[in-house]
Amino acid sequence: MGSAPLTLRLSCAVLDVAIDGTADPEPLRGALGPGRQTLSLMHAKRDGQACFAYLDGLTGLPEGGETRGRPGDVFVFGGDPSGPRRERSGQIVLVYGPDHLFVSPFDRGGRPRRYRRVGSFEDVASLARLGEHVWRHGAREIDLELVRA
Amino acid sequence: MSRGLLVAVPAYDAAIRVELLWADAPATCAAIWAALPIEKPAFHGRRSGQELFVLADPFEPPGRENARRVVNAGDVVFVHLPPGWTDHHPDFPSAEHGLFDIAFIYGSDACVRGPEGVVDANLFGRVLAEDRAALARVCERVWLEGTAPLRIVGTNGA
Repeated sequence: MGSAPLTLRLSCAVLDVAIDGTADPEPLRGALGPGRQTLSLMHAKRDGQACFAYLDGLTGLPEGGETRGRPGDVFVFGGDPSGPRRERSGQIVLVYGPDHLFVSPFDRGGRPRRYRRVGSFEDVASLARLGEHVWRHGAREIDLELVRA
Repeated sequence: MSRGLLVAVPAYDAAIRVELLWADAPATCAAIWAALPIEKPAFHGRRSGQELFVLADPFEPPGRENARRVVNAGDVVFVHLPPGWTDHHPDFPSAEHGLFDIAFIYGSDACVRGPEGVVDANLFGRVLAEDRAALARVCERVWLEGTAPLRIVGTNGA
């Protein structure tokens, strides 16, 4: 990570989840900062045990990073301007389990794809509860903010 | 008149017709037919892309037949994951018989994958062309709104 990490605060009122992690603010500049941002957290369709939210302003990140994360890891994807509509927006991704691999759309090759790791949560159990709930019960609103500890 | 399937998702007022491919996958069609009716929650795939699936109660698996690794919108496939595949989910008991996975493919961004990668899928049915848009709508709603009860019954003449 390139700059001093800040606290990444995630909460979901429906599930009574409120956890703190850490994140490098640099890749998130212009997309996430102080002040809560409410996002719709959806389940990944291809990437296994991971959820994601579209994050406006997260653009221009060069492709790079890792194809696989550990439970608790937070990644960003800068979007693919040449891709289908669903792929063009930036995303923040929360990995909540070990059955996970980033994959490009199957109709565009279905190959492992690299995402940039920006932080992590230590409370993997809460993140897993959130992820499994989203998979079974559908998208949920979460609040995210990046704050100084 | 050939025997087919009717897939109902009452929560979304959907009834989707499936042509069974008796000539290409006779053993799989017969096994599924014998297992009807199937009433299970439908889950959206989380590693296979544009796929909806149900896990049927165990039956004698038909073996590899009309197997595909590339699937298309409208395909209906069967995969038997052998005992021991947990799918990382405690609600999917697989220790004794394995998982009996019936999957509905609703878009081109799909590839049937198990916990350890791409698997051979028995292609045994096709959603009728005029019902594919309804299938896609149901699948997107399950993705965004959560699992929904699904019922599969047999029909004479799809």
